[in-house]
Order: sequence, then structure tokens, then C-alpha cells
Amino acid sequence: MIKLENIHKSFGDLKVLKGINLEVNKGEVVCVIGPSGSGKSTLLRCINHLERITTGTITIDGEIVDERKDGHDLRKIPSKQVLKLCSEVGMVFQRFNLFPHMTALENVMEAPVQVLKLPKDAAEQEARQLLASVGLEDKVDVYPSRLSGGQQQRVAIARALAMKPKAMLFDEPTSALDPELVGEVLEVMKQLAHEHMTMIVVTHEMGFAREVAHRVIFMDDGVIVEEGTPEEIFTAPKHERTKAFLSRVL
Amino acid sequence: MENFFESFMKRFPTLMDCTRVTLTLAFSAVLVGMVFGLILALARISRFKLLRSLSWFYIWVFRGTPMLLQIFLIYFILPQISPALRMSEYPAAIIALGLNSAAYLAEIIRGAIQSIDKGQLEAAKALGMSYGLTMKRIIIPQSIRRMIPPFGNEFITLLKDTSLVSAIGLTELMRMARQVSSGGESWFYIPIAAIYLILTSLFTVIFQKLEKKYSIYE
Repeated sequence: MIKLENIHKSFGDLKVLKGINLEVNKGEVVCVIGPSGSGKSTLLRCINHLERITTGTITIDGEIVDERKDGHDLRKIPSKQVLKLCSEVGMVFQRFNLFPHMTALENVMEAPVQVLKLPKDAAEQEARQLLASVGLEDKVDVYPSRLSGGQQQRVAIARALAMKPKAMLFDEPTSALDPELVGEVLEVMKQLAHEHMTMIVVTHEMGFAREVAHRVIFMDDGVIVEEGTPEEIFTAPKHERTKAFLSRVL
Repeated sequence: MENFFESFMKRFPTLMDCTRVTLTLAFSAVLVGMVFGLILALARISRFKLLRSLSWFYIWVFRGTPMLLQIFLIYFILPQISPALRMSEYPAAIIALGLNSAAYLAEIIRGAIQSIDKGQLEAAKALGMSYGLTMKRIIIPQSIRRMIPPFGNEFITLLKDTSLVSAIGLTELMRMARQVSSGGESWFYIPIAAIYLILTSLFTVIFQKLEKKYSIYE
């Protein structure tokens, strides 16, 4: 479904990703863990072109969406196609990034109406269903500033789902939340996982990774140090760096 | 006292006409300024260096030279370059005031656009929205609220600056004051000042109301 080959990313002289290879299958939930600065958020952002990779190949659903070497395109991908790709991979941000001048409903309807050109009433009906599925049917007409962090993040998930994405990327979706609001967001993500959504989740929630992930990736210093089932990573990590990290966070 | 009052009432209809001219000038000029200022602002943050440079150059020139000189340039000098550029006072005044306010409004618009959180651009891109669509639907609507206070200041400055076009013979409030006072009634500057003050106060209140109206979501 999503295939990353030999991904390198530098910001100036700073090498953030140093040769990542990762393949995520359809319906798989992959959790990426690791210390901050290890490059896990950057990896996620590269998948839908929020950052451009320096070197490597990204394939989504059999279609090459980026192929570069040393900062140059090996394949020219028209910006229309890049946007289409972006809309096919949903993204949920740490800081929600809801549109503050729109109500919850308008946030969810915006892209289906403007990008997919769905008729307004059809988009509204779907948006209401989506908001209901994340438990916010009574908040449709509320502006983001009047919602709690957990509610905002659930609207953000509904907004991404409204584009009917092939996969969802979560960039530390609960890191900006008060502890008591983390659960409601994780609950929605679990529900998605049960519906066989393909998901890549960068997270510090080890409980979630252990319970929901099919595979856990441990990243440090721009490389994948270790990967395996939650069982393997959390109960019998092989690498010293993994052990050291887990002993700090568990 | 009786004399002042009679004289004032006699001139009242003309005074209202001149007030209308001043307001028309200010509104037309700010309209020109807004459209052109938005284009300049978008050019200023564009990916293309040529557009950025052109916009920078325009703003540099129009903010760095006196407005009165710009008015003379458009009304007196342009027709000497080519007779096709000859205009009557009204359009010349609107164009001069509009081009000048465009330079200031461009900087106001650019500042407001750039103050919007980068996460908004990313969220829009992640939803497949193009740059143009993101500007139109996400960035500019959010910038508007932040633009209102500096925009209000600029409009009030412009309203007062319309008095400069009296220099090319357009009869608005300031020129009327000069004409009446040169006939020996220099007290006439006082009611003119009062009208300017009423207008600027009125628009201050209007812009405050607008600001409140646009902050419902904050």
C-alpha cells in the first residue's frame, strides 16, 4: 500500500532521515515510536509531500508519488497529481490545525465540496455522519475555539476521513492534549483500526501501540533501529537503544 | 452671529455636495487600493522573484514619495508624455489616491496573510487543496479580521488625504473651504474641520463594529 525505499532527508547540513525502508500493507496499523528528534514526524510528513525527500522513492498503491536523488527530481510529478495524492492520504496533526473560521461541520465539508466537487447537501449529510461517528453530533455548529482539544482532534480526524483516504497518517495526535482527553481520541483511532483503515501512527502512547498496532517501528537518529510485533518490541527488544528508550518511557 | 448662520445655511447644499465628493473619492480610491493592493501583496509573497521584486519596487516608490507629487505626476506630467494619458480631475484623483493606498494596503494584507499559522497551509494541502483555493477559502478569510484595525487606520488617513486633490482643482471639502475663505470668510474652515472630524469618528466606530463582527469565532 505504502512503500518507502531508501528515504533520505536533510535540512541543510542536518541529516534527519538516513535511509529508511518501510512497507505498509493495506489494512495494517503501524506505530512509529522513538525519542524526539529521531525523524519519525519528518518521515510521516514526507509521505504526503509536506516535506520533500532528498533521496529515495515513495510508492502509494502501486503509483510512484516521489522519486528523487540528492534533492533533484528523477521523475517530474505534476502538482495536480501531488494534490490528488495528498487528498488520498489523510493526515492528522499534533496541533489539530482546524480552520478556526469554520464550524465543525464546515471544517469537515470544506474539502469534499471544494476539492471533490461534491454537492453541498450530500457533503453535509456525510459530514454529519462522520461527526456522529466520532461522537460529536451535538457539536456540528460549534467553532473550534469552543471545543476542547480532544473534540478538536476528533473533528480533525472526521475532516481527514471525509476525503475517503486510502490511508491515514497520524503525527503525534495526542501529544498536545490534556491527559484526560487522550482516551477519547485513541478510542476513535481504535475504531478506525477495527474498520481496517491503513494507518501510520507516530505516537508516544505505548499502551495504544501495544494494543492496536500490527507492527511497531522503533526509530532513532534517522534510521529504523528495530521493528516487530508489539509483543516482540515491548517484551523482548533486541537492540540496546530500544531497551534504553523503552525503559525510559514505560 | 446671525450673519455666520445665514451664510452657513446658504452654503449648506454646496457643503453637502462637497462632502459627497470627498466620500466618493475616498471610497473609490480605497476600492482601487484594495484590488490592486491584494495583487501586490500576493506578488510580494509569490514564489517568483520577478513578481516579488516588482511589487517591492512599487511599494518602495509609492510609500517613499509625497502623495501630492504623485497626484501632480498623474494629472500634469503623464499627459505630457502621451496625450492619450490625459484625464479629467475626477479619475486622475481616484487613480492617484488609489495607487498610493494600494502600496500601504499591500503591506497590511501581506502582514495579515503571513501572520496566519503555517499549520493552516499544511492542513489545506493535506486535504488536496491547491494554493489558490487555500488562499481564497482558508488564508484570506482568516486574514480579514486581522486586517480590519490597520485597514481602518489607512482608510481614515486616505479620507483626510483626499484634501490634497484640491490642488488639481477638484471641488471637494478642502477646496470649498479655501474658496469661501478667500472671499473673506475664513471662519468657514471651522465647519469643514467639523465635517472631517464627524466622518473620521463615524468610520472609527464602523471599523470597531466590523472588528467585533468578524471575531465571532475567536
